[in-house]
Amino acid sequence: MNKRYNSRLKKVCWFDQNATTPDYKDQKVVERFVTERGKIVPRRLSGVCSKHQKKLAVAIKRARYLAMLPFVAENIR
Amino acid sequence: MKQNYETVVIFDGALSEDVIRKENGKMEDFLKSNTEFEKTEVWGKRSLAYAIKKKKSGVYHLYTFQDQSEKNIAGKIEKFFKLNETVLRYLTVIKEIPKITERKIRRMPVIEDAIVEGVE
Repeated sequence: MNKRYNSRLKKVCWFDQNATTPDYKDQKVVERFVTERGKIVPRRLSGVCSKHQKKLAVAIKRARYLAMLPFVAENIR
Repeated sequence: MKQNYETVVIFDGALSEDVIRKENGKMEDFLKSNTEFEKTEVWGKRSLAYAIKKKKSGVYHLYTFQDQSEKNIAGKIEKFFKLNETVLRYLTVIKEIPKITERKIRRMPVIEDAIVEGVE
């Protein structure tokens, strides 16, 4: 897959596609938008629209507080 | 204003089922006497992403209820749990009811077109 091919493919918000909104209780969904280090994936990489990214950030932070996601992932090699 | 609330409570996973059931009952009674209690969802025992009070697992419970926002139910719940050692975490939020609109579904793109354009 070359670069040109990639850059032309327009990313679509996952939440728009699935007609849902980010929810901290849905661990599997929220996990997708976190790097293995535990960081929130930026919009430019994940393609999430700004409306949903804002809600997603809140959802991830709530999930972290409830120990469903790590604040900092340890033991990555 | 009347609001929908939900509270997630994490009980200590090292406790026996009986103790957790008793604590759950206390919480339900508390909500029933103070709010319009709806239901309890038990998510069961899960391992925590990081240790809380040196505990590695917790039993998750989700309570949903309605209340007047002026009554500050979140503060009351905090008071209720603050001295309770069986509880590791609690979080009360205003519930969001997801809306599915027609617009969102229409926004789905035709992916095949994009690929053809990209290759050429």
